[in-house]
Amino acid sequence: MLEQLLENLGFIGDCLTGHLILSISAILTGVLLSVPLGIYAARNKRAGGMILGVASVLQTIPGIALLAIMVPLLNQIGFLPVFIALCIYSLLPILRNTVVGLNELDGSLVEAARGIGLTPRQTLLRVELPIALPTIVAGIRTSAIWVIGTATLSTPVGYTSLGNLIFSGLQTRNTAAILLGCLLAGVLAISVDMLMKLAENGLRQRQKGRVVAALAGLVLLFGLGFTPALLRESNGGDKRPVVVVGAKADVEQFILARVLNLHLAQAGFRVVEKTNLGSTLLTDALRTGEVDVAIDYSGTLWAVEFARTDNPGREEMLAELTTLLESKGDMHLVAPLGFENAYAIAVRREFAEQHNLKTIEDLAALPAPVSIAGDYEIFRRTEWLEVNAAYNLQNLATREMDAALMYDAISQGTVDAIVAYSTNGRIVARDLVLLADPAEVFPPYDALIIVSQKSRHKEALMPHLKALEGIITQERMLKTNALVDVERQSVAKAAKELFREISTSPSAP
Amino acid sequence: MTPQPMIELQDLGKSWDGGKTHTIRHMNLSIATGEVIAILGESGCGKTTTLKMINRLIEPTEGRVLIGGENVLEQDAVELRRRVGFVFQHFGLFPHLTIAENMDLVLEIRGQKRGANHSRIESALARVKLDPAQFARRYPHELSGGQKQRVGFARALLVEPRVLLMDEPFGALDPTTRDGLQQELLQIQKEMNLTCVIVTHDMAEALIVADRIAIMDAGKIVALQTPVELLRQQDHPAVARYLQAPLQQARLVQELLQKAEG
Repeated sequence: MLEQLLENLGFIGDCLTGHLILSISAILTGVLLSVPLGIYAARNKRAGGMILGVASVLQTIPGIALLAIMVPLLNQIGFLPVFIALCIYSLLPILRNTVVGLNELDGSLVEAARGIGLTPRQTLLRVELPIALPTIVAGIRTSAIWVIGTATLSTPVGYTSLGNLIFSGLQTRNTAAILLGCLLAGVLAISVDMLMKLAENGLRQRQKGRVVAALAGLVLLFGLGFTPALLRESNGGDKRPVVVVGAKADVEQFILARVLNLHLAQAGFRVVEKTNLGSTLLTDALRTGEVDVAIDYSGTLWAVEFARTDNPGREEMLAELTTLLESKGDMHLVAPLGFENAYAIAVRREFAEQHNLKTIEDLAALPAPVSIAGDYEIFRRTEWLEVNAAYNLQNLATREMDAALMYDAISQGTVDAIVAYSTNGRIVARDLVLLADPAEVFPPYDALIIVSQKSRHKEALMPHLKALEGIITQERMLKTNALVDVERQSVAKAAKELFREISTSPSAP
Repeated sequence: MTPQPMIELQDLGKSWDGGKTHTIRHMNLSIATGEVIAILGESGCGKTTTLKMINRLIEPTEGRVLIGGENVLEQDAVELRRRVGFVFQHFGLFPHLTIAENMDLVLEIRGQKRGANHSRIESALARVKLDPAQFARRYPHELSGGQKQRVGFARALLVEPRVLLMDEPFGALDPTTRDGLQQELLQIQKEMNLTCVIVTHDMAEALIVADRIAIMDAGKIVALQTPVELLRQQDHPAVARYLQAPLQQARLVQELLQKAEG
């Protein structure tokens, strides 16, 4: 696992740089907003109480929720929504410490300043702020640690940070990547904390040397963080046209994004991967054109994007999706990739044999309660409601968890059944049985190449995407997923293998 | 014809709640150039309020204050405070600045370049018997109370004001330090021909430093006399009350000395 990481040193550098750019800009903006606001709040008790109240309420919103609100609010993914959420997050500690620092100031010093002829402005700048500075710096310190920690949550909304190591690591079950992401974020937070503590103590004890050393340390730290990006830039002007490939947080999606990357790079494009996006965020990003191309699944688009409850069958659904995507989605369906990754209910083989389970109907007949796990979406999606109604599934106790974890949950016996992804390599590896859907309530989930409306008209790009039609068969996808899910190979290596295969024998075996 | 007084308080008053409660009422006081006036009174009698109205740290609500014949209420308050020296009970030195920086601040706010006035600061420190080489680069917390107040005096006198206002300047110091500083203050006052107003609650101090003593009670001056007159007459109950303590101390010391000799 460590070798996989070392292969990816460039990517780790990108994560670190992204993390630093995001954190620094959020903290600096937080300081620029909070200190003046804190001065105002200290001067005007009533407005001050309100300002602190609002900041406290904002602080109670969990970081991930704040991010989830920002994305639809700004109708944008990437830097801006995370940046704004982190700025809001950084406000309170700086604001509160500014107010406390100024209010706890010895009143006789302020009077002395007036008494020797300082103007109110001079009193603030020459006496009050310098004396309150150590307290304000302590607030900035708290904010900085929060911001550096919370910045890892930028990954699902499409901004690369150390969170990408953690989120990808979770999906690919790469513990080393998760630990590295946590470790780097932790080291960063602790270094910043220690340097700012040095600055704070230097200010308190009036030792200029310490303050200077702390500032130099911070500059050096940030400089180090930017180095990977600078080295990359110096590789020279890259004139290739850029294509942004999007992917959700899932091994199959990572593999397909990398295959698209390899394929388009060969065709002369420079590909930027935006992986780990939230499921609906990916379609949003395609709609706004922030992502040029991605793989999505017909049943998902059908049920989630267009809220359809009927199941017209594969051919008709594809035809209708093509027009729906054009007219309502600002997207364009290029072609099916050739395989289906369906939602399907899976149980352990011994459990199936013990209860003689073959279909979902059989499952419905079991005595309650049967515990079933699924990803964060499925139990609220229309397909599931339809399945529930069609088979009268009243004996199920549902549990939501990360999709990467539910295969462990079922093999350990924590749950009896899962709503699995039919191409997942662990279905075979863990000896799971998929239950049949005789009423055909689950819609087909054909993998489709989708492009944004903008990219549809890129004549250089479209033929290369069309060339991928039907090229990845069910067997190929299953095998490749298993390379990562079961054999613990890296996504990069598995994707390279799949790409080699489809390049050498483009027609399905 | 008497020369023009340096400071004049004319019908001065301070009221709160839109005129309902008065801290100071109808106060009149005329202070000659080079004179030292002590304002004496108990806590809450309005002595500090009176002092702070002279440089408008507290704004008067009635009457006028004249310095050098000019109404200070018509002047810019910040400019006024820059011209009048002020010494604070708790020294008013800024903890984040060295002694030299504390003093330089007074010059900086008048638009002078930072650090351009070494010699001026050094001679001001020398005037209050502090060795600049030893003290200029120290921070206030590294000084004793007496040393801090010396800096307080040096800072107030840095711009060579004609008027020096002092709010219980020796109140936070031990008796020996206090006695020494009082004598030095008087010497400097004579050299610079300063007009001084000193607020105190210590009768002995007032008797030592003041040319005239104003005794305040409940927002009014109830006696205004030279120390000698005050000791002779003692005609107001407040005056008698104030003299009681120092006189008794003097008697006690006298008796002890007689016992020792006899």
